[in-house]
Amino acid sequence: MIEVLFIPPAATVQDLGRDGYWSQGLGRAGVMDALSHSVANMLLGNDVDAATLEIPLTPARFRFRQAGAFALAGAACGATLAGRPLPRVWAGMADAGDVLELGPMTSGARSYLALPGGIDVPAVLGSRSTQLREGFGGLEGRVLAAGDVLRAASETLPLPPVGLSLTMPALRAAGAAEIELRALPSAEHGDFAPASREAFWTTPYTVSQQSNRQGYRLEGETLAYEASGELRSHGIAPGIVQVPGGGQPIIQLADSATMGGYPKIAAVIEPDLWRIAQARPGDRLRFRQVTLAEAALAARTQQEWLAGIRTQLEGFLTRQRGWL
Amino acid sequence: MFDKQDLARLLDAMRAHGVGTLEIEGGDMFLRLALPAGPAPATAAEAKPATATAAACSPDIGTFLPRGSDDGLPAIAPGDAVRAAELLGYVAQGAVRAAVTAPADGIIASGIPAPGTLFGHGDPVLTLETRP
Repeated sequence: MIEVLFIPPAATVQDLGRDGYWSQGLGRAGVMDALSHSVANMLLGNDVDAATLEIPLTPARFRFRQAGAFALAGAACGATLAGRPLPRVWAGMADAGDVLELGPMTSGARSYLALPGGIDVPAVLGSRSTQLREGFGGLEGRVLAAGDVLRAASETLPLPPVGLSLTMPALRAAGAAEIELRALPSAEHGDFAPASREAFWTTPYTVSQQSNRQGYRLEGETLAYEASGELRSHGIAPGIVQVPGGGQPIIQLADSATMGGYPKIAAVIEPDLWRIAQARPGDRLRFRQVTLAEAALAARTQQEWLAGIRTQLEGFLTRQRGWL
Repeated sequence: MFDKQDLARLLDAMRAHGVGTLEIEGGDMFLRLALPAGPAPATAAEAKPATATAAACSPDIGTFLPRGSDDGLPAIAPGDAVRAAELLGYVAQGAVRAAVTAPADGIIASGIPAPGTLFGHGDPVLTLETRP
């Protein structure tokens, strides 16, 4: 059980999202960075869909009311437990009274805090995610505030008395200045001017300050939509890149609306959405066009990576049990 | 029978006194402990009798990864002050990194192992100078 001592009003309880209500106009919600969220859960032996706390703004401070295990993954934010520095990916034990403090983020944009069994909030429509627009799910359908208490869903599993960290995939390729996002051309791709299509796939776009769980507004080469007539509203999904009248793209994300009328130039593939979640205002993104087959392969590769991590963690626990 | 703590105490005593191998026989039990040859551990203590040393030991089998590469932490170097239970580096196997932590408050008195150095469970990874 941990108590929130201080937190900027942006942190929400999330799991992998509330699927299945799109046609009724209810978006997916869920974590922005499913990779860090899943790893934080796996480090505690949780199901990957267990609820974690998504923390997009720091500093934040928590106090453990009783001894217990916890895990952190995501942005590097100078985290400390009882004053001792923690790496950006960490699972370990805290003593009763210990204060967990997250400082300024130096790389990445979101940290995930996991507790044994997941954060204990009721499932609503099959998910524990906070639906901010509709005001339900998660912790009372709202962002966290000082005084809130988060409970672990299961009895504290005593981890071996060894702290754990993990090698994560790099946000950028080695030596690259930009974060590469693989994307598929979307419905109106062909209606953009040839020079705009060329610019979209070859020039970098900067993440603007207008970036949140709903979407990221980007700044870069202006994209000219050439078709005449008004577009009807269509279903949209997290990852869709829309281009409103000004010609600057918007990537729709976890709290995306379910419908939109702006022309869609591309869709970032799901296995790369975590990279957007960890991009900060000022970071530069570059879109790389892939085929549907390449997108499917990327999804499989990411699932296999996660399964491999699960196996390696089981191996670690087996070795530790042998030595205890 | 010896439990893990007994073995750790025996190994610490061997290191502290520069004993390379130790054999114990009793009843139907036989225990043989052997330490790899290394620098004589007693020199630091002789030079500065007011201090003691403590080893930060490997919690797993794997290769050493210093702290500060991609984990958001500042690197550490000999002479740095660290607190008990502070993370000093990792012993990694695949993607899993087990934390090497300080056994006590102290100053890093040994060099930091080269990345990729292989350690077994219980091997000393770093030496701290502690103030008793």
